[in-house]
Amino acid sequence: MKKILFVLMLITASPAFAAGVYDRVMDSGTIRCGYIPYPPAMIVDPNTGEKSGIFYDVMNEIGKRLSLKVEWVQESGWGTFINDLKSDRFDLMCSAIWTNSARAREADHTEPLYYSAITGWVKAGDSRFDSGLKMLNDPQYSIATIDGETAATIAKTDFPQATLVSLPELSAVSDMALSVSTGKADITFLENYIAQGFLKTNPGTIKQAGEVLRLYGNAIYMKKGEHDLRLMIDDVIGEILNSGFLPELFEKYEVPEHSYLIPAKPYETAP
Amino acid sequence: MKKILLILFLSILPLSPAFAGKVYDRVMESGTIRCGYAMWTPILYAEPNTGELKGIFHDLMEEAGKRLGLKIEWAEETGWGTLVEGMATDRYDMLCTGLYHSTGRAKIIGFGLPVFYSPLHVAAKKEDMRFDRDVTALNNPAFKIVVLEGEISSIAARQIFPKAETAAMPQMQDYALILKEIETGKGDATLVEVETFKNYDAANPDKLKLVGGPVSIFPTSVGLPRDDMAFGNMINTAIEELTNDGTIDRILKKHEKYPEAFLRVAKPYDAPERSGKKD
Repeated sequence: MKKILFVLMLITASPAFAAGVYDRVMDSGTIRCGYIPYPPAMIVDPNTGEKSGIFYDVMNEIGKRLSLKVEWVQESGWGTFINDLKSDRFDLMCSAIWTNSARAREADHTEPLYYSAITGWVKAGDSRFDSGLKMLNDPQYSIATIDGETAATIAKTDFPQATLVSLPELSAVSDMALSVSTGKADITFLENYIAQGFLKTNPGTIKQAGEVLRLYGNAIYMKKGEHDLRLMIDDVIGEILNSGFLPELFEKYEVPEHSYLIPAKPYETAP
Repeated sequence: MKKILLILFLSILPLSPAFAGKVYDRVMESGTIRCGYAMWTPILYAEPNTGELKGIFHDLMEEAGKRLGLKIEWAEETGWGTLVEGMATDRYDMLCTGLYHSTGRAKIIGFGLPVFYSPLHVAAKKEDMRFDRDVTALNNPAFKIVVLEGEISSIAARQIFPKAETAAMPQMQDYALILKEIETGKGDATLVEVETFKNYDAANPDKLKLVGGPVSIFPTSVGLPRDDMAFGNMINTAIEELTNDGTIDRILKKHEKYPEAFLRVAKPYDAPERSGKKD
């Protein structure tokens, strides 16, 4: 009998038997944040360790509006953050994570704060794809990619007949833009923020071609099943999106124009 | 005493955070989503010779399953009027066919994010001018609307034209038979979507017409268990991904005969001019 009681006590005292994350946050008055450095959403100064960024500011604003303290407790990684959420190392992954099906198996997310679009980029002056990318699925055209990177996935899925110009796995993503601007490839697929950053240092060298190929919401992640927490954070994100807060942050962090897409307004404007 | 402790232990198990949702936990454990479905060309249909399932929601669910790393099992075909009951009794995990969102159904099931929007029109005999000027004239006990029991035409007819008489046909009936009832004068009108009407019109030219614009536009999506948000969020993220990367548009183009039949989901973002810093 004592053994049974002891086992029961152990089980109920374990983290798996703790109250949900929402209850824990409300009881402690604190949101414990995990983060992954990924400018401009989350920036960690390598010298001072000081944190900043769009999601950093938004999360602190969410805390302020909910009267909850925000603690930035642990840096995590792309491949480990879901396990960190599951094992309660932090309450929320508070920096920008792209929403996708694979992650949806294991974790839930808030409404996106903004969207990252991936589009085609060609050498400035190249007008061959002005009417769209349909003709790109042809061996005569070459696509700059990096093995394992999103551009390679899009090329293989959407344009399987085109020729790949594969860069080494450790290349910088902006090297794909360089391949296009120097004529080594006809086109590449880049997140607009990266392309706009490349254009800032290499003005007039590349231009956008065709429609949006992929669109990813940038959202905050939480443990699967934390619906009360998600609804609470979503309400504040709605408030933030309906105010001028986000454009101010784009200004503050010098995000180049057209880098991100803002969620559509939920109302129609007067005619 | 041991029994009491065991009961106590079992009773608090569902409170564990590991219990994300009944359907979610079952699906993740089995690695399979069990689908209930009703058929309607081109939403979901079986090849007459082989019985192979095809259609918009077949392609959508198979692609969603691939991306989620889950097998899609087409577990049970049922009628439109009984679809939702199978969810309540756990015979399947979700409804993998295209359902119009409606308040009546929302009492029992949840809906996924819209895959597309379906305009619903009034159809009447070609020479019938009574509703041309004002389609609300149909809302009168003197007129009979023929509908399919349990299907959206019956729900919409009672909501939009509550004063009109409705004549409901059995739920497994082909909708062409309902349109034939209008053509042969057994009813004054019906409510029909564009694809179904145009297919009938191609086989029976100049017998019927669509009256005015759509009387309603319904979001169309899968059906989800009401009380399992963990499962619903997972499916919705997959639908969102398939919308945003153009997969759903490609599936619709593959199956639609008439471009105005399935209205695409609006982009979730505003025009790029509004984002970012101006130099």
